[in-house]
Amino acid sequence: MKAKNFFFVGILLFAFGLTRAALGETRQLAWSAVTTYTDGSPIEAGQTVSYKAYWTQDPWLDAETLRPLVSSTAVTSATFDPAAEGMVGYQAVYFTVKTVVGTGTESTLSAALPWNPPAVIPGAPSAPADLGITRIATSTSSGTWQLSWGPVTTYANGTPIQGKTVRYAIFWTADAGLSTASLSPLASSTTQTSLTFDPAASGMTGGQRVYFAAKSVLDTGEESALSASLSWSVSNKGPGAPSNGRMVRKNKK
Amino acid sequence: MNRSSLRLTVSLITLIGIIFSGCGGGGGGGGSSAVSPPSGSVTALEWDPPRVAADGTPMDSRRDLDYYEFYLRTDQNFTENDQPVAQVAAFYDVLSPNGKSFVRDLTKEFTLDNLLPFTEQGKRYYVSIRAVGVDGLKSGFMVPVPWDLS
Repeated sequence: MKAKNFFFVGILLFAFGLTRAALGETRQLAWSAVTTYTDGSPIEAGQTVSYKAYWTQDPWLDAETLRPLVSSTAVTSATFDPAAEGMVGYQAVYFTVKTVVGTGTESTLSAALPWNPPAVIPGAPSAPADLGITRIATSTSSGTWQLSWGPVTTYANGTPIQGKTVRYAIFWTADAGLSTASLSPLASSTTQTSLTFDPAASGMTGGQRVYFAAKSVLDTGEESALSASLSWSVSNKGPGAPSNGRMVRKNKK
Repeated sequence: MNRSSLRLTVSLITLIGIIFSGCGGGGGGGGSSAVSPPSGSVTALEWDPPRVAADGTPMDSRRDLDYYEFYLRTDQNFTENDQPVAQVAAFYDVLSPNGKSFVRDLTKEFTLDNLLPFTEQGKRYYVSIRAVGVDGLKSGFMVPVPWDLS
């Protein structure tokens, strides 16, 4: 083997085109392939070339502070999740890579690449659940009704929502399929877990079958999927009475 | 009251009725202690669930009904001031024929023996029920059905 030091052409960092929902805040660190020794001579054919990637919060890349991103890879990139690696949002980190040739001859560390991790975004909040409806007044022809739902306290992945405000968007529609185009807002943004409405004033007609659904929206913009719907027949009279009551004798089971 | 908590209430009330009915035979003083239904059989009330709302508009009982309330009187003059002695959910889930899912079936009967703790032997009672929608609105009373406890 000729030299003990290697030459890095460059090191690049860029976001990989994957969705948050699929892989969280995944990022990819990439670098140029090493093909020569520091003196410019090519690495011999048949020699294996692998790479070790690290990150640290120390801009001077002190060896004791280096945390492995990839322990050994033959490819020239590494995909990672900043949150999973323990990187804190907005606190600069530095990446560095070294090359290993053959059985273990290592290069020096590459120049540090600084990067500011984004704030961790766990994803969408859970959709509201337990929609219910009760009549609270009969002062208008169609009455005043209260729609209620359970508070959303977790993300869809089950982790608690902390430090963020959860608002709710409430919709109604006559479309059982809850098509987006058919949804009419009853409330566009409320932090409460109930609202009152007058069916007639909201555009509903007596005897009409309507469906209520809700979304939760965080103040940072993420919104949940649409909740399961609550089916309701617009009525101010209630159900008809049961009929044909009769006594029967039955054998005990 | 939301639907899930209401169901819990319904279950508890029904359970209480069952527990009481199982405590008969313990001393005098009215109540159900002297009532002993014929062995091997029970008295049940059956009814037809409502198919239309009180205003005549079509109703989907599987979606619009929440539970039934049961009322007892020694006459037929049920009023809004009467208090229900039991509640049961308006539907229940049964395993579908393929055994892989559940289908919703309407409740159409109730074992009146569960109401024995609220009765005295030798009297004639009238039973009526009301349907309660998911929105809390109640139907009128079903035509009372006589129930002789002799």
